[in-house]
Amino acid sequence: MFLEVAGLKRIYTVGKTTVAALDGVDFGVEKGAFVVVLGPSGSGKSTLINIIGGIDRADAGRVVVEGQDIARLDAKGLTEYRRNSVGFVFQFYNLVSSLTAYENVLATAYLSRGSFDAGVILDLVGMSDKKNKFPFELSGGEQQRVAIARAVVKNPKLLLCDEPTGALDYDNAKKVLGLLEKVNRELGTTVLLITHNTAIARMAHVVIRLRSGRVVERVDNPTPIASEQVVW
Amino acid sequence: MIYRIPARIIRRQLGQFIGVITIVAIASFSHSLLTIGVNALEEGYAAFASDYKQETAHFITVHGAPEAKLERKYKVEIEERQVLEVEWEDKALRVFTPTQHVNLACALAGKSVPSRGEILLDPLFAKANGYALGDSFRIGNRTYKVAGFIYMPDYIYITRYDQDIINNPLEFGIGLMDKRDMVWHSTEPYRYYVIGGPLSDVRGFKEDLEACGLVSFVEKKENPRITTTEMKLAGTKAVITPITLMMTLISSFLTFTVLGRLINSLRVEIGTLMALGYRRGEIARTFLYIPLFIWIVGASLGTAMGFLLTKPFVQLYVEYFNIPLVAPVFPTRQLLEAFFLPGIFIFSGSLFALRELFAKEPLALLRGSEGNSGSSAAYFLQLDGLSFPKRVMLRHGLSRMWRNLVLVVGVACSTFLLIYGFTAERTLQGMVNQTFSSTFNYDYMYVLSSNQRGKKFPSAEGFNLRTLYDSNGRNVVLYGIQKGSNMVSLRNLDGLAPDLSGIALAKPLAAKLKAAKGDVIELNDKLNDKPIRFRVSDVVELRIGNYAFIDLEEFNRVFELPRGSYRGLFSPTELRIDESLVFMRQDKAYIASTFENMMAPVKQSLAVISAISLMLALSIANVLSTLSLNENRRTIGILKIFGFRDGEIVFMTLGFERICFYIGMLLGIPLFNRLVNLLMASVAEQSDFALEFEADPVGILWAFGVLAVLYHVVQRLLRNRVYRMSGAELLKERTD
Ligand SMILES: Nc1ncnc2c1ncn2[C@@H]1O[C@H](COP(=O)(O)OP(=O)(O)OP(=O)(O)O)[C@@H](O)[C@H]1O
Ligand SMILES: [Mg+2]
Repeated sequence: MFLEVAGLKRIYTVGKTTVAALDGVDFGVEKGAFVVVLGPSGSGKSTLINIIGGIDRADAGRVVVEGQDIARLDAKGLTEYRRNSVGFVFQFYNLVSSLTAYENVLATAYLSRGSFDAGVILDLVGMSDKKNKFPFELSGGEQQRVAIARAVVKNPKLLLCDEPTGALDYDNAKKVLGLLEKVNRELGTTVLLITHNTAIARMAHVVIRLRSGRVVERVDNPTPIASEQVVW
Repeated sequence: MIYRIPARIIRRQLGQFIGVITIVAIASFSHSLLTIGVNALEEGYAAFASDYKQETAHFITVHGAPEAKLERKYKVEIEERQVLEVEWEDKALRVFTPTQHVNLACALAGKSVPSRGEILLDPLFAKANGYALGDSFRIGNRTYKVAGFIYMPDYIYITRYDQDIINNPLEFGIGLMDKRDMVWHSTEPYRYYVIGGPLSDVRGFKEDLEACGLVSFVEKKENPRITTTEMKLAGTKAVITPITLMMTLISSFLTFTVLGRLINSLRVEIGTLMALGYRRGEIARTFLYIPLFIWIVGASLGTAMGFLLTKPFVQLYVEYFNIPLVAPVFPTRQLLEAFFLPGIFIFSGSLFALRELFAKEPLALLRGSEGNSGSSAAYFLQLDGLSFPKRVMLRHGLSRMWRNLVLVVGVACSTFLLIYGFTAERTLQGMVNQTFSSTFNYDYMYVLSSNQRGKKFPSAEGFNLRTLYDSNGRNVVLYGIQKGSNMVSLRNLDGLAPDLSGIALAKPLAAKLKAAKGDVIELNDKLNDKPIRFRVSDVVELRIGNYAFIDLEEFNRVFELPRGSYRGLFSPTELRIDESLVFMRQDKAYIASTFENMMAPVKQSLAVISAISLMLALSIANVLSTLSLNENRRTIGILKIFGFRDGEIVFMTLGFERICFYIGMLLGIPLFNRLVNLLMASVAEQSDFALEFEADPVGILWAFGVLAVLYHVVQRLLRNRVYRMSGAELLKERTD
């Protein structure tokens, strides 16, 4: 098992009320899987992926990635984990605003020895003609493509995407999905993708449904469709 | 790659960085300028005293003293020098013969040792009376050439009589001439000796001199011509140092917090880098280039400016204190301090902020939330009755309590300094007026050469005076004045006529002797070193001088003088007294005016301090407001898109800071009233002044007016900045 989540809990306390964003989540996926996490708003999807990505902490439970329980790691260990194993694609891109598109990609290429060439990856996402532009000079779709390039360039084992298409129109969303599919199929990167869009689930090997911080359904799909065939 | 981030951030927010750099520059500038001035003076004086062999004591005898024998016995150097008192019109010049081992002359211009037919003058006297090099100077029927201007280590504060508190270069000066010339004018053997080197057994030395008729023996520590300057130096340092320290602290504190906020405003970018897997060390190393840049640029500018302005500043002090700069003073230590001190605060502020960010989960940073640092007070407030803009303004402001507190403190301190600047001058003026117009009502004071009885001048009033000293060698001038005197109207601290049955001390003197009403103190008579115990019967509202007062008859009883006798006269008009009967005369108007001149450098320093503190207050307002605007770009964008006007947006986002600015200004008044007198108490202990500061309405109005006007300008500029922000652009910058 490449990734195994067990008994994962995350409890927020605001004033006197407590919210269990994650209330005992268990699941596991194999290496190279394309996983889609579905669930209504507030069901704990972002919380889950953030903990798996090592940018948030669990209150209880295990997150084992290739035999290493990252819930046990200290801040330093988490940094190394993120540095070496994880690529992040955020819903709102989070490009470093003072660096150009190309420099944003370079900034993570630098982190890993197994990185791809930044120029090649930018070409792959179709952004080489705008590589010298700053984030605020790019459209949302363009920014997201740069963000994917940035996440992919260091050849992570685990690519985590929190609603990468949420802010995009149909065409741009399709382009992004195509890219993620390519990364998954060609590089063998395990992809975890959060979405509200059930149509996207059809291209996944595994679909996990969350509700109120729990896994309510898990579907394994041995024959996922290609991203071009996804329509909504 | 991320090494490019700092430069890009700085370029993007240049305006804000210029503001922060200004604050740093002010910190370096004020520190270097003020400390360099005071220290140059102190070091300059120490160098002068040691290089030019300042005397340890001097004495006068009737017969010649056995110099060689005494030198061997006490292991000191003794040199005789001759003195000639030249008088003409209302002026007097005290001319000495040059010495070789003790009290060497230091030439400001021309020669330091006169040849035959030449005379050297002290620069103050020469300046006041318009003598230039090469001019001729007549003494009797001989003419001398002015061949140099000289400083003498034993006549730094050039007064004619020991008890003079004010020097008067127009009427009195000192000079040097060759011995052969002097003999020509006076054959009278006037045996005046100076001693160099440490003298341990003063008592034994004096006893050994009894045989040759010792007239007077004055140690350096009781020589007002030396100690007055030393005291004034200490006093100046006492006024300047705490203020400098305060300015440095305020600006350092500011750079500390501002840098913290600056780093904090980069939290999303830092969070992103953390999420991507950058190590803290890598991130810290990158982002610390920002404070490094601010520090290097700000501190270099400030230190360089301070250094450039040091020269005229030191010059001013040097002229005022009449101390030659014997060696060029290069203030290495102060410059290094001025350069590195802000650095410490800049980096600690940045590191604190970074540490705080690093302690958080990257996620928390990515959300761009303030975490729970905002005060919860904002949430409990009932704001329903208020208009929407007011509600937003209050919520916004109250959730940023801590940083607004910084603003309040910073502005309060600046206001304090400004009020100080605007009040000090009038306080000094008031002190002079209070002393010379309302307390001393006479216009002329005569000290006669012998005791008198009976009333010879109907308009004048008799008094007695005696110089005493305490266990630390501090002089006390005791006046015996008539009951219900019209010439000296004293008031005690309650505003009533003081009790003069014992001695009543002037305020600064009481502070120095640490004596209060009812204490018994012991003072020694300067004439015969006899200890006398006095009861302190009152403290009088007199802010200058080391004066004490006692009833004239009580004075006569204590000093065993005949009843009704007096030695001096206070008079509202000039008296026609035979010159031979007058030992000393003083013209009050002249004293008052010289006194004001004496205050000139203090006033100058105050002006500089005010100017700096004004810049400081504005930089604070500007930088904090700019930071606020930057931190709230998103909110501003949304409000703009909603259709709020620029003025309303400024009100909502910066309205609370404006309130804080005004609160800070108001708090400046009590802060001033509290702190300034603490400060002045230390001044009174070290000098002959007791300054009493009260934030008077005129000073406050000035300080407030200037601050308010300039703050208004800052707000205008901010509004323009809001105007230029485009809502769409601001929203696009959204990173989270
Ligand atoms: N910082 C926080 N403080 C308090 N509660 C939080 C915090 N973050 C998330 N929550 C709560 O945890 C729960 C899960 O949030 P999460 O962001 O994981 O939902 P989500 O499934 O990603 O929703 P969406 O689809 O709307 O993005 C929600 O009820 C949310 O209110
Ligand atoms: Mg979410």
